[in-house]
Amino acid sequence: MIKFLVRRLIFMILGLLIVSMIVFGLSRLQGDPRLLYLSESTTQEQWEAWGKEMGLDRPVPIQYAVWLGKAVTGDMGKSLREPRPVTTIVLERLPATLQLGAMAWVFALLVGWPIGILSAVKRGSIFDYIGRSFALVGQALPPFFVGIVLILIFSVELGWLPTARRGGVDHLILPVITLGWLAASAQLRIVRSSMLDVLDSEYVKLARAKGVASRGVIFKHALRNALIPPLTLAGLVFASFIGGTVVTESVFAWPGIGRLALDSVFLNDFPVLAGVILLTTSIYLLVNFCVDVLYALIDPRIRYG
Amino acid sequence: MDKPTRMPASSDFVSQTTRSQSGPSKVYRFIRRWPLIPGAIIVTLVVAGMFAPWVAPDSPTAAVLRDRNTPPMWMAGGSSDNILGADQQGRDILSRTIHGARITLIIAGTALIIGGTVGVTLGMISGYYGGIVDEIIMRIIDVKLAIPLILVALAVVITIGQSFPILVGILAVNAWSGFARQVRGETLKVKELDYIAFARILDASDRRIFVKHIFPGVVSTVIVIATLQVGGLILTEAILSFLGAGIPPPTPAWGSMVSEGRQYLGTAWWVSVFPGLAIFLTVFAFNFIGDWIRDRLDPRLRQLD
Repeated sequence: MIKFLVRRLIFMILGLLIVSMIVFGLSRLQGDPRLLYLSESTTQEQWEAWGKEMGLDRPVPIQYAVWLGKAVTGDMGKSLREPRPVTTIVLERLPATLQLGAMAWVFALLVGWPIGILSAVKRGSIFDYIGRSFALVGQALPPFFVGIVLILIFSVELGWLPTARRGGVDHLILPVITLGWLAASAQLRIVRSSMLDVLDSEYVKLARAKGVASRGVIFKHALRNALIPPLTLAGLVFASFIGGTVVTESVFAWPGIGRLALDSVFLNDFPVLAGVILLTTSIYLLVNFCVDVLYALIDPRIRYG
Repeated sequence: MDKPTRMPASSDFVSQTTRSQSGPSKVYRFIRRWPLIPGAIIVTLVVAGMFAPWVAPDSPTAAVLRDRNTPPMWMAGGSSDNILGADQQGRDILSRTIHGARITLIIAGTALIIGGTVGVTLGMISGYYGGIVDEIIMRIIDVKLAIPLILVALAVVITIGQSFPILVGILAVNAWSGFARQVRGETLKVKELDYIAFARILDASDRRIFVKHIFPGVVSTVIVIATLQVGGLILTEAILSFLGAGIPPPTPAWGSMVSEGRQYLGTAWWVSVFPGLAIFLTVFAFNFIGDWIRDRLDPRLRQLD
């Protein structure tokens, strides 16, 4: 167990290092990173001072070490558009994204799991047909298209729901569906195929042969084991959210970090974008690590394997 | 059914039962058996893409200001000049969508070939040699999954700019790991087979073993993965161009067309909806065909779900 956790921990740190190297590498691609990190209004003294602080007169590996050391302690430079530290700006926007992501995650489970289970239990029925069609259609719909169609139907035509910005519950509905749609259909697929596998296993057959009621077999014997694979994919679903939040927040003007990332592209604000990338990667790896720990706790095969 | 005088061979039996079916259900079976609709979508797409300059009624970039925001021809105010309407600059949506098919296919195709070649090569190496090489390649794949691809693509836009090779490169980076993983698994099985051992005894070079003996053994897997990946690549390309990180305008990429129409949803929904539909239908068709080929060629890969 300890060995397993240490391995995952090492992997987590390695992942973060590599992503930081990519970001660092991108910032040095044009030569002088000051072109990306300092605005036009910088004075000559500030220009020199920043270069000295980041060790630009020293070899590149040392520059990387200096930059990484600062990033680890939360100093990722200042935004080019407003004179505030990147860390503050990004953390300010984080709650909005977390709210959206958490709700979308719940939505994905609430929609994906019941339909997936029903579709597996009643294989070949009309439920299965609907479930499979939903999965196939869901995985082919680009998230921005879902958002736009939802806006067209519920905001433009019916006028029921607002189209933009944060606010009450009504502001959440459309963005959550937009973001959660893809994850819902992915979860549906996984739950269905995992449930089918388990229903076909020996111990479920034994339970049936013993005369356990059908409902008992499904809920007590099959479901518990069938839900392990979809649970472990939670981390990967989160990864799909990272791309999805940029799109969703851009369609619905949601003030989260995805929107922040996109704005910083249009404003050429590299420090902010770098901050968003490092933060999302950290969160992703942390979530994955927690899922691994959880998985090891639930499934002894992993712990001792 | 008549009592058969002998046990029918299975093919006889099948043909007898199908012959006894009535007309309409025969058609239904044919449709169920062959993916006609997705197939037709892909054929249309490829033909439209290849012959775009001849098929498209108009130039994709010529702006006719008189036609600004013309609705589709079946709506009030529409005309047969712009079958699917025109956008904010008076460009013909149908022509732009047809040219978009061409762009989409070229980008996804190139990325698939590059990513596939790299992935298949690394997968075969990883599976065949095992040991430390295998470990390194597999860890690289793990780390790759942690990289927030869309955010990094945005950072690339700031630091390097947007162009066709960059977009294809980003998509290829996205695609290779899927190939590598599956091909590695297949190689592990194939390399245990006797004919590989014989080739080794006969002192065949590693290169020869890879090209002549292992590759033919994994080729069906490669075909399945390739078809299953196309949809995802097209979707990612659409997301990137929607976010403004794809092929630079005025080239008509579907994603950027949807994005351009976003501001006019209330007055000119067709600007966004038709290219969005094109993305959906294309991805849907490729995913469907991918599933279908997988079930035919390599049902074991079902676990991919």
